[in-house]
Amino acid sequence: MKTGKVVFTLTTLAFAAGVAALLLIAWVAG
Amino acid sequence: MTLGSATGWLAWSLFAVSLVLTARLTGIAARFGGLDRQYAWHHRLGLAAYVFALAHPFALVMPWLVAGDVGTARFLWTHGAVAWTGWLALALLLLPMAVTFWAPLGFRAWLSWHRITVLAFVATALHVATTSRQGSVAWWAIAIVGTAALALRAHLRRREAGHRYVISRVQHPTQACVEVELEPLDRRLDVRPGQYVFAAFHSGEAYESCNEYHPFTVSAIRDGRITLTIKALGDCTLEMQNLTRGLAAHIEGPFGAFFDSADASVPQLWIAGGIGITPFLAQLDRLGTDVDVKMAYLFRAGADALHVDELVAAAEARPGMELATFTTATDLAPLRRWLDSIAPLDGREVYVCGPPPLLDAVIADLRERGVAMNRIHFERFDFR
Repeated sequence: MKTGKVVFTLTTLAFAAGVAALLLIAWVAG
Repeated sequence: MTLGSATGWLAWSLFAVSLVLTARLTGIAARFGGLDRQYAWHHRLGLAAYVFALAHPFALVMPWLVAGDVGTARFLWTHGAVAWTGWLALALLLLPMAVTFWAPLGFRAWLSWHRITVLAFVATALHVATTSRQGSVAWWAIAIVGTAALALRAHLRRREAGHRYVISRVQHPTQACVEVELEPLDRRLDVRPGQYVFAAFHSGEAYESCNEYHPFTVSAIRDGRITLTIKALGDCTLEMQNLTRGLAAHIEGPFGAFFDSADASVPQLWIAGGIGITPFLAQLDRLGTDVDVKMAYLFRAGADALHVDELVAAAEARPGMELATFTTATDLAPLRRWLDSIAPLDGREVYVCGPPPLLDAVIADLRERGVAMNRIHFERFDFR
């Protein structure tokens, strides 16, 4: 459960950061 | 197949298999070495499906990003039904998992949230159906496996799905515990000491059923009858303190293999905490006189101790059996001193049953004392 919580949290945060980065570069690219 | 497509298919197929592993079937559970281990695989595969699902949109746009065509990456948001069903499926998967890991909910509230994963599976099926893969053999195979798993789970969770039993005797060994003996009405279950069953009871005059199955370790097996010792730990088990003789019950199982490796010729160490005494009570009935068993029983207060007289009598009847009782809430120092007195421990098979914090603390302690992990036997009642 502890490992699962760490994996879930880190991958979700990385995913959120990735989506934000994609939105940003897509917006910058026009 | 592209990396983007592969991550998507992997996510959905792992999702479907993880749903299959929620079914409580004795045959499947035995193959995994116990229902707790089957559920551990359900968790692993569910998490793996989630990670692949998160990676899927990035894997899809990676070729365009590598080629410097950043603008095309916007199809993740602008591609109509494919896009919105995909994001919906991800959100419906993320939500119940976030609740599982971060919200300290009771079992019922958690289960309500976890049922959202069914919608996530449907949304994923729609998402794949809106791509050019609709109607493919793979789509049908995964959709059928997932749907069949969900239907089977719903069928098994019906109270009437279990074996029919009736309560033949009721006792209250402590204030917070009720002990019910169950007699089979049709086929008797082949239960071994150390195993547990899921039980659901019908309402009576004094008892209002919550119509749910709850897991209980069997504390006695005699002439086809099984005894369950039920401690009031939540709303349902509190209401079960009002169970009376003659009420109908449905039983699923048995599950678990706690004592399956036990060999009377090998010295054993038993450590029980609170209600965790139940598998040891069942095993005592099968225990010969020529055994080497050191047993520790921990409980919060004398009024919580279950069947101590029985345990004392069993120890007195067996020259090789030693019983030590400890009245303690969280302090394990007395147990540690007792373990020091019976060292060395590395030649013993160790059986531990009790609340998860006690289980974790005792296992860590035994490991520090050089007891190999394959000699420590325990099962976790973690069915979320």
